Amino acid sequence: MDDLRMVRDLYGEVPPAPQLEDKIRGRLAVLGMEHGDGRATGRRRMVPRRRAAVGLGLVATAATVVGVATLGGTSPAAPGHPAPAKPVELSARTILLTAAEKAAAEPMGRYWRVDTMGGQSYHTGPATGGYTVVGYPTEESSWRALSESDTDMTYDRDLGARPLTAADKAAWEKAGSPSTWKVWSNDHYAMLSTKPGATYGTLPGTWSQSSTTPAQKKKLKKLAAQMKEMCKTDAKICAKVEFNAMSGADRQKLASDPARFKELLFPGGAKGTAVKGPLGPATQLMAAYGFLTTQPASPQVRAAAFRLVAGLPDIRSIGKVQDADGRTGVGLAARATMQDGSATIFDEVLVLDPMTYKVLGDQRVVVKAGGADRGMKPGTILYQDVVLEAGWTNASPHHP
Amino acid sequence: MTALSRVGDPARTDDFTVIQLSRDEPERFGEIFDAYFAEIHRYVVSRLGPDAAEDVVAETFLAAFRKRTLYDADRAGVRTWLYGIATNLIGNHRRTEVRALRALGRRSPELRVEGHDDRVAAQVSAQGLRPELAAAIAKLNKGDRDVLLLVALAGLGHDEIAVALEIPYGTVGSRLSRARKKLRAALGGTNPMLDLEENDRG
Repeated sequence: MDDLRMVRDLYGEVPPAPQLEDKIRGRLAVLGMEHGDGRATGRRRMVPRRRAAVGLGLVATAATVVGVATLGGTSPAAPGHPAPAKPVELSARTILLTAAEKAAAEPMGRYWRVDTMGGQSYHTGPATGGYTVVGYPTEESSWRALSESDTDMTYDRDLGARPLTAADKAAWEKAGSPSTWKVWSNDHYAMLSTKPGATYGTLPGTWSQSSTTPAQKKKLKKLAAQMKEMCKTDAKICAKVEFNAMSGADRQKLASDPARFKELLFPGGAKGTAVKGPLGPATQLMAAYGFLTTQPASPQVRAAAFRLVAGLPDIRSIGKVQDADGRTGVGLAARATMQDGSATIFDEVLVLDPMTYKVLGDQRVVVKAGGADRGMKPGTILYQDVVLEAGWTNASPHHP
Repeated sequence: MTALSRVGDPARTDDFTVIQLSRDEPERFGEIFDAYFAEIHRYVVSRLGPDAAEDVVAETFLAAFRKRTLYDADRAGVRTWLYGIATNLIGNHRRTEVRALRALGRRSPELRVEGHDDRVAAQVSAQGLRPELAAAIAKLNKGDRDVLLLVALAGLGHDEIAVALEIPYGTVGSRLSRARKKLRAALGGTNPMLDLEENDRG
């Protein structure tokens, strides 16, 4: 017996602590969800996303202008009556109810596939004479299986930072076409690079893939179920947990239970002590966009989600908009303020296809820039998530 | 008595991948937690006792989660990295550790009847020396104690300890031999049951 052995024997054995293990696992999971950017499953990339969360009533009074209401006689939800392609005349409610109707008629498939391109804008250089770049631009293809016994796949790649518009490109060239930019992001300086994969903390420039196997899905579900106990002090987290723990059948029931669905999709304000009140309309719009693009929900549940958004009081129709990819869509907007210290006022805009009413994307558009954003003109796209393709498919997972 | 043996390392070659994935999918970090909770818990409870250990174990994993984007696989394995974080946190609880050691020294012998007679006899003697051993460990300076216990309890190699504690490789060896010398002195250096070989590089 040597002295190290004696030391080990002195300390002896430690009984396992399953309760503590569960407790810490729960705390980790809560933390994970907070870091998951509010997406129900946190599948989105964890780029240092600029904070745009909107707290209680921040903009509720400013944005009570309900959409332009000119219904024009036709029943919005009448089957076989596509709304006329003059979206500017339609109210937000009409547009969203039409979108619900269209969504309900979509076919199901083996995978819910969504291809997106996204990024967030940073102003560089002086307020006058500087220009705006898109940082952390990524392309992602997400395949979420209908069946719990199929594996989910996500493919993504970093596209490299770039000037936002043609005018920004010209200003960038005039500045000598630098290949990196140091920008302020939330609470730290980030170094953006034009070289795909070179921006710190982001993906390689080539496609990378990650999978969630059925066994992992089971584990995540179990974890979510365990966490129900842990989240009693925060209804917002509870709702996410509950959603993650739901079986496919339970999720399907949401289609016919709008009250419960609403509580899950737009949590807060109901019960619990630590709840900071209901979500602001812009956050609600973000949540709806997240659900509609990332969740493998049935056509009925997707339609129900559109109807919930249609029922929100503070969403305005802003008519024809151009998205970051140059496509024309109809915009549904809610005003809010960036919470990253810039206090930039922006419109959160859900963009729908004017003909099919499918989701084209989500973008934040500057109304009045402040702080580190100073120099961005009104109309500048502050954050973009462009949907290149979305829908149920029977194809096998692969990247674009 | 079973030593706190190494658990988990060999088969978990994809820890790095899991950490990478957890950057985007925070839930994935749960896999790291599941793999290492038991041994980190054992290590921290050994050093601080169950009450103080609770927060330290929790904070070890929460800190690792928060720092997961900074994790550098070229420098350390995940297991080493976690022991490093835990050891740092234990450093804030020095008095608690000394108290825990005092309690360990007082603990009455738990004799096992099974096994060879010689072994039982050795254990009896070892049990008798508990207070001295515990007091000697308590008297070590923090750096020496960290190295000693990362070897004895966690079974880390010198290279891993160097990374975990962010100290030079050579310092690990010198701290360990200093610690062991003090322990032997406290136990009465000529005790025949002690292995006196200066074989620190084990």
